[in-house]
Amino acid sequence: MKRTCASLFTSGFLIFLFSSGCMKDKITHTYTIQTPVYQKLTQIRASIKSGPATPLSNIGKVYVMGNYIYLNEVDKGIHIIDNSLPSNPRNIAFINIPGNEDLAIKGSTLYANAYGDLVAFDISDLTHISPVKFLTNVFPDLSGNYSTTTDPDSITIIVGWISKDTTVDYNPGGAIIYPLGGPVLYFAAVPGAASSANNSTGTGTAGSTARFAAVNNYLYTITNSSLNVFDISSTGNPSVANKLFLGWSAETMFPLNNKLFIGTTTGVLVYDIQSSAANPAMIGECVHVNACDPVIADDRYAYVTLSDGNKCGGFSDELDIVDTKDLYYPTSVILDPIPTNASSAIIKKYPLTHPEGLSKDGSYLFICDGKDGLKVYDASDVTSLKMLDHLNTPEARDVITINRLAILITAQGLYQFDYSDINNIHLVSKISAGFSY
Amino acid sequence: MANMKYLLIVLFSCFVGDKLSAQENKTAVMTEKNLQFHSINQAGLLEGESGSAFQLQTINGLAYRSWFVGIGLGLDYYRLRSIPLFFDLRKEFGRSAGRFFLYAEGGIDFAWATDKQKNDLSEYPYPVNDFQNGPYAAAGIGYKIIFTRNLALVISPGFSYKKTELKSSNTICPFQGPCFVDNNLYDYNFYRFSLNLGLVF
Repeated sequence: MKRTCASLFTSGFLIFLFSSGCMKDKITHTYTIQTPVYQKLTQIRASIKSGPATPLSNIGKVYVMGNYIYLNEVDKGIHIIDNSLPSNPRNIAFINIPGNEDLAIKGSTLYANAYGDLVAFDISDLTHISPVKFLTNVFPDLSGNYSTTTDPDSITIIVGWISKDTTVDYNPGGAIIYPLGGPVLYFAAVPGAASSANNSTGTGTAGSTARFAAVNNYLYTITNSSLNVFDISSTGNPSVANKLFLGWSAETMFPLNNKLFIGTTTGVLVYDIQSSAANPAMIGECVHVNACDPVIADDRYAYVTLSDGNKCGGFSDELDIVDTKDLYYPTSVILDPIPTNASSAIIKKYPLTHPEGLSKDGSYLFICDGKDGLKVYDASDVTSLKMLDHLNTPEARDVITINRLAILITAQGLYQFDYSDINNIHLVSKISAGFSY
Repeated sequence: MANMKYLLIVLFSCFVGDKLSAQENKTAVMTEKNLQFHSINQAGLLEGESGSAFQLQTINGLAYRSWFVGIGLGLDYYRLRSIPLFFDLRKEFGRSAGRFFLYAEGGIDFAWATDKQKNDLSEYPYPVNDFQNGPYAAAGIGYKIIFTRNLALVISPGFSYKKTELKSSNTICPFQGPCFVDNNLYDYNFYRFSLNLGLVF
């Protein structure tokens, strides 16, 4: 027995000394291959229609018009909420709009994108909503299709993905871990046969993260790279009026006093639409550090929230107060390059947790501060904001203040707070929603 | 690390070449007839495809006759720093002051990545979750030299295994098409030879 143990012991020792290189680590990487599902634009359009209400999910943009709240479900469509009684809002209808990301309303016409199309809907009867006009592929940034054709039968859009998990051996070499970057997208040739998809005269009020703005007889929209202008003077019959190149980082737009405040990842651009509504002219700008940034404004100041995160490549979480009188270019001077005082328009910065949308009613400033909920400030003195209330809600994303109601979009649904007594802000209702991302 | 291996050759010669024959003539000692507490504290080398690394272990438990069972806690620097927590079972053979034993271990390996190991992930642009805990196992043969009732030396070559996973999940909004959630799973299985040297109290 002892001789056997000695042999085993010696063998084990010698194996350790001379053969340890034979041991192999086994490392695998499981990832998902995404194969696109294509659909012709004509088929997509055929599916655009209204129907019964569906549960809220993946809420994106919010828009209020009269007694109704319109909630975008990202890439799916628009929920219509009857908010005649804010304490008991009723989800009454859903407009199926594949690829929808934004909306605006003028009178009885709702304008929304469906991938690259601008679609006009007659909403005079909310129980029977139908599209009345399509402007084909006016937002190629959103469809990914830059062909010049306007034939919807010739335009194909990726409407979904077929996911398949795959596991491969992985050998990252000397590094502990060097994950493969990004997802694997497999783009097949566009198939010949489309596969089925797995698929008033006044204007309302949009949230601060909006990219659509209806002002008088024009609809202004921004994509990442352009400012698009549509003539909506004729009810239900929009037409392209202009298109301006902005750059590759436009995010949000806020109209005020015949100006458009456009938030980009590197600053705020100001366009004048009073001199010529169809030809917005850039009249000023302010630069800030790289970050995601919704912007709103009042008569004197602009309020910009910056948040970090991979989407915008930023590292700041703060509220910037911008004195708008320092934004505008002197009319007598042609400025090239960007004015050196462009960032000095920021007069105060307030650190926050992860701010997103915001809204202002008089001297009250409402800021959605991510997982920190909704924060309410007295902004009478913008250099010394005073917090009046801090509402611990699920992740707060955007807010509209109207009629002393704060209509809040969170990661878990739609919340409404009554702030008619600013010292007693209280929840009046909520509608739950699911989020997959 | 190569020099460390050859140093161990010298150690091995001292232990086995000399003690094996000498110990046979000593009278039997250290046979636990009653339950007795022991603490095994050892340092060791791990050798595998990812190179060499150190480990430290403390195993505390009860011995009865030729059996020992205890709970061990270690520090494992192989590839990804971790803390194994495990049950340890040993069986000794013979009654002399120099005796062989077999051991087997099993438990959980708690991942404890160093800052450098975490920073290695910085090239990946998306949020990445931390390393996950996984199983730990080891087995092998050893030689124990007993000096006194409460002091012994152990040396034990064997095999060792640990596992960890790394998950990442991020929403991707591609240039074309709707957003989707991109999930990645990295599954790491580390197989090593081990050689431990320690003291038993």
